[in-house]
Amino acid sequence: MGADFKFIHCADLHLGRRFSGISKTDGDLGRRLADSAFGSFDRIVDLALSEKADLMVISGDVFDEENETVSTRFRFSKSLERLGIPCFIALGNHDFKRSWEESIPYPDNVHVFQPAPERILMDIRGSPVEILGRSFPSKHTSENLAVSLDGSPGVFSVAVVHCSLETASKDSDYAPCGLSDLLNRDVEYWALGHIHKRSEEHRFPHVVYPGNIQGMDPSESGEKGAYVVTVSNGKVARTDFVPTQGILWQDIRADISGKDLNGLISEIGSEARPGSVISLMIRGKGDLDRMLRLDLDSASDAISSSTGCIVSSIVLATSPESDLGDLAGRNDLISGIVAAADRISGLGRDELLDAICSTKPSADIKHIFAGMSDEELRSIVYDAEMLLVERIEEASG
Amino acid sequence: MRIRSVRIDSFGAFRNRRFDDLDPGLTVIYGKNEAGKTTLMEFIRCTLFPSQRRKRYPAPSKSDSGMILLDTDAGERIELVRDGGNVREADGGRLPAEMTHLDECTYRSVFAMTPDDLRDSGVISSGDIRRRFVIVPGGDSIQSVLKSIEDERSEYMSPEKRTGRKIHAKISELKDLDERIAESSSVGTDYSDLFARKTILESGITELGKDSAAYSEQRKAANLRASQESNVRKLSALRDERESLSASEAVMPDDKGTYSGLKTRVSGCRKDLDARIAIESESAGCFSGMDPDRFRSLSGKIKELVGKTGEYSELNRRREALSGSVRIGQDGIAKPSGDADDSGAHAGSRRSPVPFLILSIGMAMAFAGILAGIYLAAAGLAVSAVGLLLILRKGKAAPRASVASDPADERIRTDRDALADAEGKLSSMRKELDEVAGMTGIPRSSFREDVAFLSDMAGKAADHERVRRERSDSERELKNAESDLTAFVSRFGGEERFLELEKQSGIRRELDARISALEESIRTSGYEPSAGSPADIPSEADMDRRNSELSRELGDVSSRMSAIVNDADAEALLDRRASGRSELEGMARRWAVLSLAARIANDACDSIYESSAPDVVRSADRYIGLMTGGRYSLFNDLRESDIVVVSGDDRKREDRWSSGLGDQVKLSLKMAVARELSQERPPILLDDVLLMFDSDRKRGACRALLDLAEDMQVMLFTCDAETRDLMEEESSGKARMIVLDAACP
Repeated sequence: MGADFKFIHCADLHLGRRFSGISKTDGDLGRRLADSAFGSFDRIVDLALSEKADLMVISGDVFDEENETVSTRFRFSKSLERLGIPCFIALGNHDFKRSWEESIPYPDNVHVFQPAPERILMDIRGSPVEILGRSFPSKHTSENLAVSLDGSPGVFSVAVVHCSLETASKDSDYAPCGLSDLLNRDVEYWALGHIHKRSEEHRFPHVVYPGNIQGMDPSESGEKGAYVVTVSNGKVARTDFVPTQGILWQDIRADISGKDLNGLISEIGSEARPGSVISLMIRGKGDLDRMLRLDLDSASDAISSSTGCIVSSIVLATSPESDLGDLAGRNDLISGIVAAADRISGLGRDELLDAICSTKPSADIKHIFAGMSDEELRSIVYDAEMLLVERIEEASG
Repeated sequence: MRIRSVRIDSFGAFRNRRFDDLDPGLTVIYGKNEAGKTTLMEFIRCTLFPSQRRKRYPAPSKSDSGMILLDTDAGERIELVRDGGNVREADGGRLPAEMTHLDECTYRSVFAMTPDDLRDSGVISSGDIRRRFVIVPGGDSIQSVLKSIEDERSEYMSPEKRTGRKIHAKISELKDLDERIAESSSVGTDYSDLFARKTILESGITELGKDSAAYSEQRKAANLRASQESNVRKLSALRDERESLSASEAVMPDDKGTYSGLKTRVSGCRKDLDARIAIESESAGCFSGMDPDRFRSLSGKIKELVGKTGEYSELNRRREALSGSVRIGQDGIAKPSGDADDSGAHAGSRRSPVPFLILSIGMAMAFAGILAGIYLAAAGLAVSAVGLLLILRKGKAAPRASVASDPADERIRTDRDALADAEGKLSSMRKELDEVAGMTGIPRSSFREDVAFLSDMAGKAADHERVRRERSDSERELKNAESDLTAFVSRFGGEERFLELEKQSGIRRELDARISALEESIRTSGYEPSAGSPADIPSEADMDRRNSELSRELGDVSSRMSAIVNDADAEALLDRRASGRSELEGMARRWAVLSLAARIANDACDSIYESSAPDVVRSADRYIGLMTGGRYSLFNDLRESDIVVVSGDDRKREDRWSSGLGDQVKLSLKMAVARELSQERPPILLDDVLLMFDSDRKRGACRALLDLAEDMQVMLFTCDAETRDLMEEESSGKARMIVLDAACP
């Protein structure tokens, strides 16, 4: 008879992290969003208790390096105390520092792995279960941490590590490893962390990224939470993802073509879940383009109050009824502008970044644009083009 | 497009005039005022470009008629026929589209200008010409749009400086926040320090509580001590005295008991021995100088003799009886001995000495055997026995030899034999007695008394031996007791030293008893003998003060710790930083949109400048260069709202132009625009536009016009002879001159 037990796997708690990408500067909202990660973890603790889980593993980035305060550490420590069952933590690139271990110690049910590989043998109702793990030694490491973790044959082994699996990410600074590195190591469940998007990379052995427990910016949309892993007769019988996020981020795309504002809002409302934070990408051609461009804030407020959602951002990819393409054919400044915008939009990423940050002082904010996706960068070009067209037409009467 | 000839049937004052062989390059139409220059020019211009103007010179008339013959650049010949207010293209020829698309104002201002038209720069700096050449259509708003963009953009960030504007203000606000957050996250270190301090303070307070209780007791004790000072002094004196006593090995009460026991034992043993000695000496007195050991060693023999006493009396009586019978039957045969006890001794004197010798040797050997060993004694006894046997056999044999043969004799002989036998035996017994008596040295009397005496003495000797043994035991006992005593006291350096130590111990014990009695008495009064002076014990107020100091600090540390844990400020700073970053991102994005808008607009302008503006500007630049002898060049950009000329490093906007320079610039520009306005360039008609130029400028203008005439037809109408001459001179006579006769207006 192999082991029969349940455990909870979560990662990337990023407790204390503030949300980014919210254009509104509403203090309460910021507070509520920052608290939502704690709320999510507390629901994971509730889940562990209600599921009568035998242990919990946390695969790194419990804290956000720059946002870890005594208070967050204290609060997390209290939650672990409430958890009560054995809990194993491998530190990641954001929380490798091990602050306040002595002054705010974790309760006795918690084991934090050292940077060197560790193996902890447990007895769960008479069956041996092995927890392997190692922590990040520093903010960056190009060492393949996972290959140092080998399970014991005949024992159910859970390996806990924060790493960057090549199938999920190309980060070479965050303990890169290949999927093949994880197979044939007598490990039944690889409890990974680092990638915020949930994915089950392999089954038998299971290689799982549970994703983060709370979306932190518009790019981290969708449900977030933890896995309940059921082991039966020494094999993974079930992996159940349970959403626990406090606030849901939603990416919503809408089209203005043939719609007025109410039509647009009702299209958005059909997708938006009340209470979630939505980032909008609005496309299409129509008269609404001009209205949105003239007063996006009012439009955002109207969408927010009608859907009951927080609008974190709106990307306008709309155009007036007459297409810019039509304008390009004209022998006037507008056509020159459309052609020039097309040329800029067609620049490579680095050239585009240089085009945006061409002045010395702008070097100070280049990192903001460097952190944007290509689509976001192109949306800036598009907005610039639309702004010019509008203003020129406005000035020309 | 070039005008080959003009025929005026009727127009103004002109009737039936022909102007043939017009130069495809430059034609100077010279005439004095009123010679009809303006009329000719007006005919050409309103035929080429029908005018809607009502007021013009000469005034329109229904009889206006004539014809202009044109060659297009494509080689087509067009005949424009004027008939009243209408102009038509004869024979299906068509005027090039460019002409039809031009508005009259532009045409007049650019292609058919008077000095007034020249000075009107509005046509270049605004309207269609500007849109098409100086800026592209829609480009007339570019300056204001660019300005509005730049204005908004510079609200966000200066293009040169890193200070003063929204973005850098936000960056520096965020930097400040970062610093404050770093400061506030150093509270993490503070928290650890506080945690350590708290642990110290808590244990300090616990210790202080314990100390406080102890001090309170000590204080009480110290007060008692103060009140019990005399007792304490006495105690102290006793302790000093006690302290001054030799620290050598103390004699313990047990030791003293041991010593007394040993002493008692020794004296008991001695007494016992004395008694034993007295008993022994009394016992020895019974032997009157005889050796008691002899009696003891002969006690067996003596017992035998005692056992033979009855036999001896019997034998004695028989001998008496037999001696009487023998004397009756045969006197003299046997002379009776006087005394039965002596007869044995007498009889012995008649026997052979050898057996006696053997007996003596045996006895001697037996005696020596007793002394030397049991074997020799046995041998001795054996030898004695042999001797005795021989004696006894000789005694028997003698009577047998004297046996009588007759019956009386026989009876006498038998009696005699019996007598001899009795006597023999008696004698033997006496001999035994003699021997024992000899050995013991007893005073002699009768056999019976001697034996009785011997028996008595043997009994006494046995008693004496017991007494002597007891005395010897007592001696040994005494010796043991004395040696035990000696061994005991030697631990202390002898008995004398022991006694001295014992005496000291006694004193110590007495002192200890007094000290402890005193201590006890002080203690029962509540006094702690070891208590210090009240001055040495921290006062209650001190303790309270220290306690409250520690408690205050603990409270402070705890509240600082809980402030750190519940540090809303730190969290608020993080919130502010997050929202500040969002704001910065929003600003940065807006700035980027504006920057890119400016970039796009500039790129568009550049590209338009590249594709169309340069020809106009390059030409204008060349013409101004020709006109000013290279002193000025034109600096023009779509993004410049004004036309700027450059002389060296000096850039001059219109407001700094002299009227002459202004005319030169405008003429240059209009010439350039005329050159570039369309593919099919209409002739440019200039009505005394150089009239106000000074001579140098005229010469320059002539050069420029000659240059322009290379590319398009130029018709210069002038009444100025200097202009005519200069043109002739500059063209080296190549310019076609038409002189209008003053007589023919």
